[in-house]
Amino acid sequence: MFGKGAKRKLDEDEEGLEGKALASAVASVSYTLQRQTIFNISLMKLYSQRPLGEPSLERRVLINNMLRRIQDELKQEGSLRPLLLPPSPPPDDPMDEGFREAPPSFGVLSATAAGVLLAESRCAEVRPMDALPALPPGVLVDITSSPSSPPSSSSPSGFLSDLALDDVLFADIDTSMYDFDPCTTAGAVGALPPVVTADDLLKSLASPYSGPAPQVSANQPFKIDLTELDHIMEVLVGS
Amino acid sequence: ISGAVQGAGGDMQWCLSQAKGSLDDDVTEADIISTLEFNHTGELLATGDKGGRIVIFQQEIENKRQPQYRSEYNVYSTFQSHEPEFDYLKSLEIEEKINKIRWIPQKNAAHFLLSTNDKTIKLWKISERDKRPEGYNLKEEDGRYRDPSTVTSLRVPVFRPMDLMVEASPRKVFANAHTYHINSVSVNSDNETYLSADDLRINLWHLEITDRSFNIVDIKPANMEELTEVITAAEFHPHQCNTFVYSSSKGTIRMCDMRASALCDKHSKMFEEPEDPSNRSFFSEIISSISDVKFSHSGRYMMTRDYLSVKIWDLNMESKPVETYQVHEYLRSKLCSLYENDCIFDKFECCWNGNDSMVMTGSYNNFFRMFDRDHRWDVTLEASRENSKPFQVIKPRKVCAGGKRKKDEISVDSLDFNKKILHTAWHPQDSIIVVATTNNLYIFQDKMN
Repeated sequence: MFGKGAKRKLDEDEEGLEGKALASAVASVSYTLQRQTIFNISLMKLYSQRPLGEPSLERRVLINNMLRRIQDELKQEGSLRPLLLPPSPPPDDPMDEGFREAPPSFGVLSATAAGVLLAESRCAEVRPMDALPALPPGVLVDITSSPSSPPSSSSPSGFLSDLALDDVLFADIDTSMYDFDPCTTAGAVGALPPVVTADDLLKSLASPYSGPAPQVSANQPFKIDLTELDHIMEVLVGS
Repeated sequence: ISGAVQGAGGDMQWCLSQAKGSLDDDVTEADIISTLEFNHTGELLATGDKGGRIVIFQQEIENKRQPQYRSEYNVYSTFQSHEPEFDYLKSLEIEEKINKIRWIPQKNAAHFLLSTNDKTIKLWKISERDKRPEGYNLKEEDGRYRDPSTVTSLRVPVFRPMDLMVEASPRKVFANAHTYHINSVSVNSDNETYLSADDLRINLWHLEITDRSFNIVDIKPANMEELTEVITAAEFHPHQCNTFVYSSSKGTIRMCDMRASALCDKHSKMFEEPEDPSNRSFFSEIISSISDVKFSHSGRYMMTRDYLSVKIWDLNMESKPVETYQVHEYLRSKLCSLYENDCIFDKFECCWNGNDSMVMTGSYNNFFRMFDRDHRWDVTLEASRENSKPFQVIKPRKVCAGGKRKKDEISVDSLDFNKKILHTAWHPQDSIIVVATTNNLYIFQDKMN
């Protein structure tokens, strides 16, 4: 005769754990997705040209506060780590001058959907490009002409001087993450990123649990060939 | 009518009395109404627009005897208050848009009001002329001087009636005192002084003196890069001439006593409600920014408007408001889109009714909301010519937040966010309300059977 059909306890626990972990993974990723979106929107708002008159000081202050909060959060999270692996020890003191330059840009890159696991390997590749030629602040920031930053203000970029220029630039080429997927046709930087749904993320995140390596794997550092590197440099330098 | 008893909000039946303004869907930028203010008796209603003009409407007195026509307002005076200017130093245009109008309590036959744009406050005198001198000795009627050789007799001019003429003349110009944009003007109960507030500073003026003002609040940091908070509104207490409040973009209200010190950087009270952790989001700070602060007529309470709610504060309790009313809570899940399209920065105003029993504020889709404090009742109404015929009671509206939409309900996604009601006003003594859509003015009255 068949038994009552009670499930094995061990299985239940396993499923429960998996379910919770996946749910929180999805929640975390959607949080970082939203944060990234808001960060980008905020940057665009601050840097886009307003047609007439002076922009509202209150609006700029609120947007600036938003950017700072997100930036602080990213700094606190440090360099990226894959969501499901044990957290690596936090990076060195964020007050360290040298540190200040790097992580915000990586934070921006990493907080995209497909990039979570790629980020660490990507970091290694991108690091050499870190030293950007300094663009005149006026190119990016139109709040230099803002009347609300009085002449006594030290930096022409107003209250965003602690936001590294890299952030702005890297924010623009965010979508290049998708272009480096070895499974898509090689590197058209202008190509539209594939729409990444929560389901896709789940599949890529599921890799530690399932056996074979998925399309996107933390173990395979992908290769950037020289032409693509050149192309990126061109975009950054704006030539 | 001034003694009319205002019934409970639930008993009120609002009818459209008049709709003023262009019927065009195409809005001329200059016609956009930017401020609205009744005078102390409610006889006059002043509106300011983006083009720097002020239009004053006057209540038809004859109609006051017939209750159903008591809210007829007709144009009394129109004048250009401010002109666009150019700041050559910063290479920027100074908008002529009227940010605020405040009436001075009436002392004689003439009416006085303060109007302000971003930088300059002006005191205007509005006076009536209904007689003119006729029969000059040396002048013809048209003003030309007579040939002296033809003057053979002496006569003294006599005042004769003429058609009513309303003249507006600028009496004082209070300029060059604000580096940042003026958001508020408030006349003190002493009737001699007033305050003006911009993003970072509040100045105190004497109504008679234009070349001097006293800075009473300054929150500008030494290093502008450290700026995280701005002043959003300020108002004098209606009875205590030493007390005023100012609100901030972080959702705080500070009350200051001018007797304590010349520079009121230290507040005597700070009103702030701790954040509800369950509602925390990226946009918490932005939606907490206070867009308007208004004392009750009694002076016991003050009301603040933030993006999603109206709060009533008891001046004796700083820790939290005594009442909170949700204006459009259904927008909470849409904050990201509203941030993207800038609607989250819309500055809604709010107002009290004459006896402080009800408050009103605007929303989107030309909806506005009324809250009855005593009976815990609220209603959503719409300012629309299509949906209201004069003297017909207007129907309450309902927004469906999600799930199945009932008949007559409108879903959140169908709301028109370009149709916003930022300015509303309540007659100080009667149940007459005025609501400004983008370029139209709607006057409603309570049917009062």
